[in-house]
Amino acid sequence: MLKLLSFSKLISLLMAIVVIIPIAIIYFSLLNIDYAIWYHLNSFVLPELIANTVKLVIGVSLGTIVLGVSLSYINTFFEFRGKKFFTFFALMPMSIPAYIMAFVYVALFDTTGLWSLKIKEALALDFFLPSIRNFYGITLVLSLSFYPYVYLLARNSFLNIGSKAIEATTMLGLSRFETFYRVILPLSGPWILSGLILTLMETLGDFGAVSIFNYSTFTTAIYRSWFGLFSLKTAQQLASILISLVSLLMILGYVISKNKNFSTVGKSSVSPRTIKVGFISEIFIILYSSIVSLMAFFIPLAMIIYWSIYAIKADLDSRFFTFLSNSLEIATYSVIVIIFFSLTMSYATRKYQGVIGQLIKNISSLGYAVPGSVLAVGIFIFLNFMDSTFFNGAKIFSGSILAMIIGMSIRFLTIGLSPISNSFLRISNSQLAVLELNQNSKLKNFIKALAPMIKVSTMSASLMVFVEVIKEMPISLMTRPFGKETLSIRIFELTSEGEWERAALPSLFLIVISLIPTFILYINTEIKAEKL
Amino acid sequence: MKTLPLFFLLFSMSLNAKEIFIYSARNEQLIKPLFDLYKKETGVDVKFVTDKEGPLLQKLKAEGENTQADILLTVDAGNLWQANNEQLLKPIKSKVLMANIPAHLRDPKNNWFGMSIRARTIFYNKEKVKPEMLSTYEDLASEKWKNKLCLRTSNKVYNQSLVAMLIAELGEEKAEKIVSGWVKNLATTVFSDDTKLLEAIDAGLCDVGIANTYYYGRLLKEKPDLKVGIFWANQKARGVHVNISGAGVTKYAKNEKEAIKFLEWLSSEKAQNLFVDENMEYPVNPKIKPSNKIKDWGPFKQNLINVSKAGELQLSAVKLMDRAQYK
Repeated sequence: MLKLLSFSKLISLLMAIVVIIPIAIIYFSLLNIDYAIWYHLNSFVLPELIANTVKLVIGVSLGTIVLGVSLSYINTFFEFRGKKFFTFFALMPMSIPAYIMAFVYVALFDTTGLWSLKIKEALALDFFLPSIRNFYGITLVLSLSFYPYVYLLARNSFLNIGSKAIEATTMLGLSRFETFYRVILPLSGPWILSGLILTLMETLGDFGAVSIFNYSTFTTAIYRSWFGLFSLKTAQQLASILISLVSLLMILGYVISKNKNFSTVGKSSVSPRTIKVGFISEIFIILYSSIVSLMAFFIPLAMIIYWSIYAIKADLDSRFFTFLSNSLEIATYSVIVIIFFSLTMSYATRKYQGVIGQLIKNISSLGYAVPGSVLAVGIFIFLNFMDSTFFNGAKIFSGSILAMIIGMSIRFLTIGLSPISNSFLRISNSQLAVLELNQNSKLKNFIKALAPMIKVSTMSASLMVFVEVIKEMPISLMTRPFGKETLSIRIFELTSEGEWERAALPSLFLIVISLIPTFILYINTEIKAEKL
Repeated sequence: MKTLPLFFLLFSMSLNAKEIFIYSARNEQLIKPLFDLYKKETGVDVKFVTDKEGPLLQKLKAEGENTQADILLTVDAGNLWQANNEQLLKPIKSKVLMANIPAHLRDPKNNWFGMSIRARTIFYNKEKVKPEMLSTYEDLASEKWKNKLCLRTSNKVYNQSLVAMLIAELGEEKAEKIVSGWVKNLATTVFSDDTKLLEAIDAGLCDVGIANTYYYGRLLKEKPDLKVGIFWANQKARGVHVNISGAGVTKYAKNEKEAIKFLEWLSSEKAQNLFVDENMEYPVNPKIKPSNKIKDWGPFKQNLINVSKAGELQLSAVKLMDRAQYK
């Protein structure tokens, strides 16, 4: 096993270096500060935007935690009609890009939105309804968009707590709420926290949805400095601040969950027994789940289908299958690469619980904290440097599908790493030691023994990475070779001149292919839950 | 490894002279038909990638002499100015382009040329406003439009260019007063795109607003009974604010000659209509008539200030808009 250990350490280090280079390029901007622009930003722009950002981060954190934890708790521990349906669709909002969700909500509920005007007409109001384009509106939309991260990670944890732990508390006479509050929540802390950190990174990096709502955040200042003030340097400096903040958050998360034991009691692969709820509770649960899936998935989906019907005639041609297969190709390769690195790194950091391992893990997660286009520049400079140094300027790294996959890996490593490294926490030291001893030195046997404990997380991770890669825009735009068009690039083409409704068609394709991995994950977790 | 053949493909592509490569901020559906036609006529294959201007400029910068791109195509003058400012373009020597494109729609040093005109003017609700009440962009800052004006976000380069032009024409102090006046007159928070703004005028949420004409054309096609009218601003003064969608040849272009030939073709009578009509823009070449779709809007006087000012003064414009609290 010694070989495996040093191999995994080496791979982890390598990945951390690859991630740190584009981030370091962003940090290098700090050497060259344009004081005039900073003075301007500081006087007229930043105070309000920082306040906006703090508000939004708090709002979306609350929103995603409430939605994500409550839904996964309900879907894991209770038995009610329509459960399978709701369990499946709770994940689906992930397949709708946040900016599309934002566009749908603005199209419906802006002062002159479709439904707002209909309501105004129906009630014969002589005034306009208020616009959704405010703090509450954007908080709602981002919460609906991002809660699946928290949901998925919380559910991974709930399913793996092990029924013994929960049975024990029930025998001790704890009420259902006490069990949740005193046992389930603390045992799931790192999972929920990881989901929350992913949500925070998404929120901080989002530019599309907030600009549709015209809600200016820190990221708005980043792009305004770059595109408006023509100062990429300032944009990178602002981004460095953002990255540093996220790093602090991650360190905080590490400190909180350090020195705690999250291993399972009993067999971890046995899911907790579900409870049949009473009639009133059942109605309440069904109503709640329906409202959430309606708002987070079915309403946006309905609008996307509605617009697609118009777009089909003009836009649907055989090229769409090329976009589709390109998207699938890049997503599949990216999933393989990211999951490989995530598994290796999780194993390495689980074995070596030192500060260095933690540092490597956290650094490797930072790609997700940077606004997309800013990171894309860093990645492109790095790839281009490789080409001009080693390949005499040929487009080996910087203009190929390889470039896209490297870019995606840098951006989305944390999406794979978070759930997988958490699942390693559930394996106790003694279990790990026994595994390694028992299975002699054969890697195959080791993996075989380990697999059941990390299977669900690995599948969840693959799903999240797959969906994120398909939605990804700035890195795809910057690193793709001539002619390699994907669905998200198609969406960009249509939205860049404001033709949002036409972008519904590629968005619909995006949702449909996201159904594939969601379905696979669903089948696996459900079969697992039904084994009881 | 599936990517390997691709490398060879890329290698062989750069050896073939009958190809040109374009980095384009103008989106695919507006350029592809043109490229297809060009290939049919000349046999030259036009390859392109699209992205926003900011990233495209950085891409050119990072690649330096290794770039494949021969042409940079944008949808505004400011970014072409910036590309030139960062020394990413090279001067174009072409009598054809000089003859086809008026002086105010190209770089004074001929490093880039406009290929279509995008006019940004005033739109109004026909039930609430009579055209006689309208005159200039400056007038929209006056008291009489209090709570009646709609604007798009100042993050959009079209508004940054408009304000830059106001600065060029009137000086910074006056321009700032106007922009502050606009902000005071806003009927609702600023919009993220021109279409939403025009819909708000149609619904009567606001009486007047500023938008690019092709958004109006597009919306009109969808809703023929739109209650929105178009008004050509500043006709008694210096004329309507125009911007361009234009192009330059990159500093390290490998196919410079072919690239210039292509731009000359774009400015020619044959291509101009195809280039501008799809998006209902105006041709740069004065010999070409605009499409029938937009003929009804009538002729207009353009502001003849050189569009490069949009780039030169963009920084000042954005700062000014921040000071004036224009979001």
